[in-house]
Order: sequence, then C-alpha cells, then structure tokens
Amino acid sequence: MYQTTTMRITNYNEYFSLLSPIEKKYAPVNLFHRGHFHFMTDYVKVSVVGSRKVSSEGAISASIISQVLTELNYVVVSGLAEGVDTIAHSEAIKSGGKTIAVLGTPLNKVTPKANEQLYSEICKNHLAVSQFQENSIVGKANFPMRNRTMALISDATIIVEASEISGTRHQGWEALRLGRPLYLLEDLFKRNLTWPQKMIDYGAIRIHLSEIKDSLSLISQLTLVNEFSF
Amino acid sequence: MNFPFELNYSTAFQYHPKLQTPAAILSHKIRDYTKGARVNIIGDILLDTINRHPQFEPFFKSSNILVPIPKSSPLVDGALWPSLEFASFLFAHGLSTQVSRLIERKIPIRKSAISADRPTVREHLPTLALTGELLTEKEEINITLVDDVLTKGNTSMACALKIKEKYPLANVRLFTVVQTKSLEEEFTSFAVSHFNRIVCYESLKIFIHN
Repeated sequence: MYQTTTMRITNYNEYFSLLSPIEKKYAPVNLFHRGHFHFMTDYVKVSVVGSRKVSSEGAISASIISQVLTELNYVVVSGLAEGVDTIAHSEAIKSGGKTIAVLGTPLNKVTPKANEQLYSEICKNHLAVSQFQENSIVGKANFPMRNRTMALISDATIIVEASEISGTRHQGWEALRLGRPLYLLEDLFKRNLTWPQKMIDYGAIRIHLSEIKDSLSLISQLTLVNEFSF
Repeated sequence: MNFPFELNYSTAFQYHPKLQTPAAILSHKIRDYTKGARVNIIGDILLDTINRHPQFEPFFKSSNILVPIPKSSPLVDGALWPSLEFASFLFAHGLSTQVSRLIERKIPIRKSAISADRPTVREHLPTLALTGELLTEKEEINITLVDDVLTKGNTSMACALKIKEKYPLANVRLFTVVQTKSLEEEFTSFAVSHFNRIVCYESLKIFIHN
C-alpha cells in the first residue's frame, strides 16, 4: 500500500538534520570522520565503556562482550581510551567485527600514544569520529561531550566497570535521557557505588555477563539508519 | 469500579517480532521508528492511516484528551517519552484539543518489552500516580490513552483503571501506534489497523481480544 524509498545518509550534515529535537540538544554540530561513515547508519551499534584502570575481571568482561556483539553483527562503539575502551575496540577487530572510535580529541591528536597503531587500523578499516576541529585544544570538557556523543550514536550502552566519579556516568545518563537501553554489568553492584542504583531507578538494566547475548539480540535500532521512508 | 471492565483500543500498524519475511522485517523498522519516536519519518503515514479509517473517529474526537502512557521508569529531565511525542504530534495535527500528562510512573517497574515475565496489572497499579487534575469544563470526559506499542495490554489497562478510580464517569479508550502480532503465521504487511477491546476481570487478570 505504501511506496517505500531508501533514505541514504551519507554525511553528518544529513544525519544531524534528521535528528529529533531531543537528540539535537547535546548533539555536536560537526562530526568529523576518518574511515567508513556508513558504520554509523548501516548497523546496530552498541557502546562498551568503562574505566581506564580496569580490573582483570573487567578486562575479561569487556573482551567477552565485544566478542558477543561481533557475533550479533553489531558495531562496537567506544572511546579509544585505555582500559575498557581499548579492549572493546581490539577484541571487535580481532573477532572480525566492526568498531567506531569516538574521540575526545581531534582526529589528528590521538591519546594515549600507545593506541596509535590501533587508531590507524580503525581509520583505515573501521570508523573514527570526533566533534573537535583538528588542532583544537583538548580540554577536560571534551570528554563528557564525547561521552554524550557516544550515547547519541549508539542503540544501547553497556557500562562494564567504572568508579564513583567516572566520566562514563555522563554517557549513562545521556543514554537514559535519549531513551536508549543502558546496561550495567552485575559487578558494578558489588563495588559500593551510589550511581548504579540511581540509574536503575531511571530505567537502566542490571545484567549478568551470561545474559548479554540474549538481551542484546532483542534491542531495537533506535538511531538513525539508512532505511526506508514512506 | 464495575467489572468486567472493557477498554476499547485501536492500533495503526502491526509488527511481527519473530518472522524474517520482507513484510515482517519492514514491520520491525516500523516498530523501531515508533520506539524511537521518529514522527518525522512515520508521521505522515500515521495521519494517513487515521484519516482513512472511520473507526478511529471515537479515539480522536475534538473533545478527546490525549494522555500519554508512562514508560516503565521515572524520566530523567528532558528525556524521550515516545507516547508523549506521538500524543503531541496528533494534537498538533488537530486530532485533539488537549494533551495531558495525567499519569506518571513514580516507582520503576521491570520493562514489559524485555520481561519474559511481564508485570501484571496488579503490579503496575501501585507504581502509577495521577498528577494534578484534568483541565476541562466539559461534563463528559473522553480520554484517549496513547502508547507506542501494544502487546498484552497490562500497562494500558493499569493506566485506564487508575484514571477510572478518580474519574469514574470518564470514557477511556486506548490508541497505540503499533501492535505486536507474534502468533500470526502469515504476516502480509505492517499497514494493518486493528480495533478491538481488552477486558479486565475483578481478579485484575486481563484478556486482549485480537
């Protein structure tokens, strides 16, 4: 009954123009990229985020989660920081999957230095994005802004491990505000933290590692996609 | 409250969660656009559907008050609330003269969409609260609850009962953008509207007529 046409989003300007008012509130006006922009619009994307100083258990969890997401043909989104982010990106690549790095720095300034090779691989065969102009100064405010951008472009967010004052919390709250599923790994609740339960009260989902595959296989694609219009 | 209580409902579209046929896959996209409140993408076909079926008329009389159904947990400031987005969209296109955030979720409940064990009407009721008063001078109050996806109807029925507690003479109906159709073996199109009722018994068990 309805004619369908495929809506192709080929760049961020087009992407931004289709965002809802709620999404636009914290959406960056610009999003520069290197690599395959279509990773933003052709796949389900799940953020895997957490501490830079990750425990050995957290590292194993991040690795398993990334593998599971790759099996589901989802893109693993993370922030290219040390710890959970690095593991998430690396495991996705190693497992033959896809990854998007959302930088808190401009595309021509990579930190940490130890991730230069990983970054190079992501730019070549995956996707790196940044809302910060090349050569701009990196300030502390960059990272909460980046975290909100990660929430925006992800269909769901999984927090693996984070401290009481971790910047990851910004992404959690933004995911809840955008109505995207937010998963908090079970171990967070053994750590005497105050924010996980607060997030649960606003709709976050407590999840055990063994439940990741079943739960994530059911998520909706809530971000903008190259899809049919009517 | 008189039981059994019947809640008449209408739905614009349908989706099949399990089938992987082209028609079912297209319906998954409709569901995703609905849950993402992408009124800029499906708004036109939603209006077209409502305007083409006279059976939608009782749900969108000009005197009707649209009341969005709350999500499963309280909202953070400025959060996306799909039911409110659709209610506001319908209001903006002349299908009501008022949208009222009459019901809120004061205590979180496990999500219906992901629970194998969905919350029942009885479990929903204490988590919901009416906020303020309906602003109307009319003697006859017509309320259309608005929601994004209808599956079993527990959330909607709990909201209807909550309203009827305070406004026993109000006419309460339910409109949802999409209805889940998981039992149908043949699924031809998302563009099928449904008009039926959900019945609630004194035990607070419900039955959704499909």
